[in-house]
Amino acid sequence: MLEAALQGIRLVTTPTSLLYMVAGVLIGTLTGALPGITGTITLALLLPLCVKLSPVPALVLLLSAHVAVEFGGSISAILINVPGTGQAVATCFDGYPMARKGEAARGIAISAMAGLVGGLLGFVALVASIPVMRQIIMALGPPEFFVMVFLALGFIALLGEKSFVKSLLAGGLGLMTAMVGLDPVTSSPRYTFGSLYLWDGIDLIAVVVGFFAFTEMMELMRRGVSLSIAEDVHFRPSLSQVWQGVRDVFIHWRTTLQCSLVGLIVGIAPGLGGTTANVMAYACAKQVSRHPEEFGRGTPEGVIGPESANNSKEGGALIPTIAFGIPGSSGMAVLLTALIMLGVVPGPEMLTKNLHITFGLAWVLALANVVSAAVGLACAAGLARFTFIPTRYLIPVVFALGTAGAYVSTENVGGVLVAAIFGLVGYAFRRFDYPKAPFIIGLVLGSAVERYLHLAVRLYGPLFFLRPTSLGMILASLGYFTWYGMRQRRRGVARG
Amino acid sequence: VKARAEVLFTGFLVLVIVTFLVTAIGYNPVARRMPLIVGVFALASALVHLTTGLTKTLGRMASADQGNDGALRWQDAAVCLWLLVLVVVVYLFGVVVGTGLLTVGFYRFVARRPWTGALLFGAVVAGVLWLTFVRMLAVSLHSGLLFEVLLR
Repeated sequence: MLEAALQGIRLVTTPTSLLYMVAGVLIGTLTGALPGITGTITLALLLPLCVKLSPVPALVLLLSAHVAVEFGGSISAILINVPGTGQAVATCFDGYPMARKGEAARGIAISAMAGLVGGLLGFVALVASIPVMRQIIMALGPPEFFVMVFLALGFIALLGEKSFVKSLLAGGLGLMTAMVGLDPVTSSPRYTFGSLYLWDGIDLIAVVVGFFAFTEMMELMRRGVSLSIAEDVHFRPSLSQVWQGVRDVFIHWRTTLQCSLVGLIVGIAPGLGGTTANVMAYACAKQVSRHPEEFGRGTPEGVIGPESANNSKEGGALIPTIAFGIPGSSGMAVLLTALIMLGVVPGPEMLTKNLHITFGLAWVLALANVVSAAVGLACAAGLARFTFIPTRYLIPVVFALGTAGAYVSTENVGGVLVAAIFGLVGYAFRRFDYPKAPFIIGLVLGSAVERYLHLAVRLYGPLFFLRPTSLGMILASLGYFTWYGMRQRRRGVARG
Repeated sequence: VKARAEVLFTGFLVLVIVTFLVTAIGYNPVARRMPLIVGVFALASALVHLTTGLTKTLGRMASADQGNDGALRWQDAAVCLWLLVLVVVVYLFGVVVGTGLLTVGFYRFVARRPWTGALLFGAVVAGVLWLTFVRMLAVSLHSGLLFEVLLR
């Protein structure tokens, strides 16, 4: 294991990898700071560029950008009260009042430092879980993996912020979309309607571009307003404020640690998502604070809590993504797409044959957090300007990059058509409040689920799910679903 | 209006899922195994959602709460049309020129900016795409049906 850890760090500390890491952090921070450009959109736009890169630099670029988006999102949350990403919602609550008090630099420094501490804790949890995960994974076979994917979709639907039935339907539609192409066992074409382009299945990159990037830009076009509504906050960077912000994180070390733990747990649980981590950590910070009455008026603890949870969550979220190939969020689903596209198949092999890649990803997580914090502390003033870019520049640029990206992966104009169709689907999802994460997770997992199903039927017959481990998992999940449903019902009754 | 539109959308999804299931029945037993499992699961969810949606919509119609978001529907149609225009323009003029033209169109007609700025911005976007994908990543981007015909 030590050898794999060393091999992993060697992979990601070459000059080329470090260059891609810095590039990823800069891109992630800038796009995160742009209101309307979420982490998933950033990954969706970067994904096509990675087609032509070798696996290590591509993964370094994507994961670094993914990590840095968290910090970028907090910049606009603090400066203009508009969260750059959904994960920065709770950062607004105290970050913006800090900026109104003339302490924007302190708020941004807190965000950078708390994110670093949270991110490093996420890294430690990820590395510490590897031996345990290896034992668990060795005890599971195809039936358990098949059952696990369906249960994960159930959990995502149950714990998500949107309707349970809509989430299940979205997951089902994602799985259905994954069925397009050649059947993996008999190689007979399914749902191709005579088109050779569809024999390889629906191109994931084109879907991701359409479903996330195009949809968000269509929504911006529809609203026809600039999201960057600058109010009377004048950002003047001050070294003393930056230093004060760094100190705040360590003065309130209990809040930092507790909220990082909240983020970690939320990250591991499928379906809870970044916004939940952010908001739950804010609630936790308020609960443990000696001055809860200060919350909402610009207290440092109100920024420390959500920001430390945001970054620790990524370490937690990588655990099921790498070990079981089950992403818990749309961002992780896009990362999973990238892993598959680059020939790295998540699952048991990531903890055995490809353990060095797992360690490499863990190292990227740690180092990208360090670089992101350094960039944040050093360039906060420059980064702040990006929050004021008008949407009239943003929309055409994202459409242009997305169109080229949708074309690149298959070098076929059909990719642009697929992106446009899924742009429309994503737009309908948004208008009618359907969750996007279950759809994209279903789509990404579709082929793996089918593989596990065929293997399970071949090995254990059609009643494979009655094997003790599978049955235990089903019963435990059903028990949890029932308990959760009853608790929600009781709460509803109590609220009247 | 939104609730009614949502019911229509769910109805459309039910149609898609039923078509998916009917098509699956025609495949060989191994190839249709997974589509049938997934299709039934999706159909059950869609029908539950459709039923609850219909009940709600009928309740709202009875209370005559119609709303007045006709303008909103036009905006929805306009942004959807934008995507269709994107596909047609890229198919005809290629990725670089097509996205450049769309940028000019957006900047001039949607953002209502002057022609000079629109042309300049379009040229910059097309140039950046060409530099990134064609020069740096050596990808041969689609040159467009019109240019292919002209070259022949």
